[in-house]
Amino acid sequence: MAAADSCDGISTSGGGWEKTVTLVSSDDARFEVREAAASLSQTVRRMIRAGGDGGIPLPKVDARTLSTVLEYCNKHAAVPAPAPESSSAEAAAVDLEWFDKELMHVDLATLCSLIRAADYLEVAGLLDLTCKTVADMIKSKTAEEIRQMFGIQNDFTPEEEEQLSRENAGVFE
Amino acid sequence: MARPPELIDDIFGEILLRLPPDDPACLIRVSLVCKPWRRLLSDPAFLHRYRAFHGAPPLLGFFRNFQGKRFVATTAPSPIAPLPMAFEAHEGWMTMDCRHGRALHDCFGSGLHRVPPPGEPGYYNAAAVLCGVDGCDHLDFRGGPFLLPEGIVVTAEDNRLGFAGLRDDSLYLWLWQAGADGSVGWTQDRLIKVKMLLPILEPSTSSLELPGFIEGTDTIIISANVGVFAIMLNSREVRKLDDTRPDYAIVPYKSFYTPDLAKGIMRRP
Repeated sequence: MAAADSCDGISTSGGGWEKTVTLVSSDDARFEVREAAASLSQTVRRMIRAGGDGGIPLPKVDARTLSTVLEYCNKHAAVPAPAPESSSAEAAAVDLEWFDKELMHVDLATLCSLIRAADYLEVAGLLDLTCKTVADMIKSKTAEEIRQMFGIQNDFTPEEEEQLSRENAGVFE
Repeated sequence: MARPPELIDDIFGEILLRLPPDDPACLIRVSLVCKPWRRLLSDPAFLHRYRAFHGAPPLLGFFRNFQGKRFVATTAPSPIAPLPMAFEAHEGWMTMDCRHGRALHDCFGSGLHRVPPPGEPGYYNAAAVLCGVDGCDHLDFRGGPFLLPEGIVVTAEDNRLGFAGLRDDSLYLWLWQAGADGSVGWTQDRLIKVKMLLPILEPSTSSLELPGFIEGTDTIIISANVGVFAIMLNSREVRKLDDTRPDYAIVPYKSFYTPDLAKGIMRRP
């Protein structure tokens, strides 16, 4: 079966056998990951189905970023499915929330790399988490502060700027 | 810091999509960062996605009727320009309801269907616009017929027609549904002791009124001698909206106030 070519396997602590896949970053670092975790990426899931030798190449993600993405995937895929509304479900949710919060304690450049990786890899939960984190960072900033944050050039002419500030007088205060 | 300019071209839409809709000033500030951002925030496809992403539009304010007739904004900037003097001065004019970012000002007319309210006649003092467009997702205004029943009509669970009224400081909710015998009518759904939720009231001077509700948010508006309050029925969370008690029904104004709607801006560069 072709799909099995890129899959290896490791034994789990419980004595069970869990299927793993090997992901290869843009800088040729190899990561062996449980298939359940890697499959949180829709892109990887499709590539697993397509099969192939020597691991799944991810040319748009470097090792450092991929390692964080996989940290997220491993944590989120590990969550068992306890009965909803049970105390353990609540504890698991709190734990995940805490984990996500800690994962976002990185600088803006790293966050931006994670957004691009989550977008390319189609990890919906991570894309939402990272984008929400950046949205929270910019929501109370002025236009100039946002430009500085991202190094964006102000491309409005002085005339356009003046008109915009007239029209939005109340917003700038 | 490493500059990530490529991010700006690629996926900043994903970030801007997650800006909070209940802070219109934030969206406007962000639209002034650069032309590509401004273009994105005026792009109809993006704005439709933005509204769909956030679901129910946020409360931006409400209309008061009769004495003190005006729009009270609960966000900045106000999405509504001050009402025209003629409107404020004309006693016959009332704001009946708002839907899809538009206000209905006392415009009962042809093509409207009245549903009798439950309970005692004369007990209710508001009207509502219900979107009668089959399959409307309430995210974009598409025109079409509206129904105008008398009284405070609310959207109950599963988008069913509901009706709310106050008696003895308790809130009664009815549902318009088929009974066991197959006939359709009002049946009482639940009773909520509202006064318990407003501990700041002085019992001797307080009487409660029900001037409105906020659709899609499970929120009822209660007015008391100390002001106007929004009460989330499920969480019992209470938020004060205004300090003075309205004399008549108020009409919440709930909409997405995206930069394209802000006055004068968003002409394409």
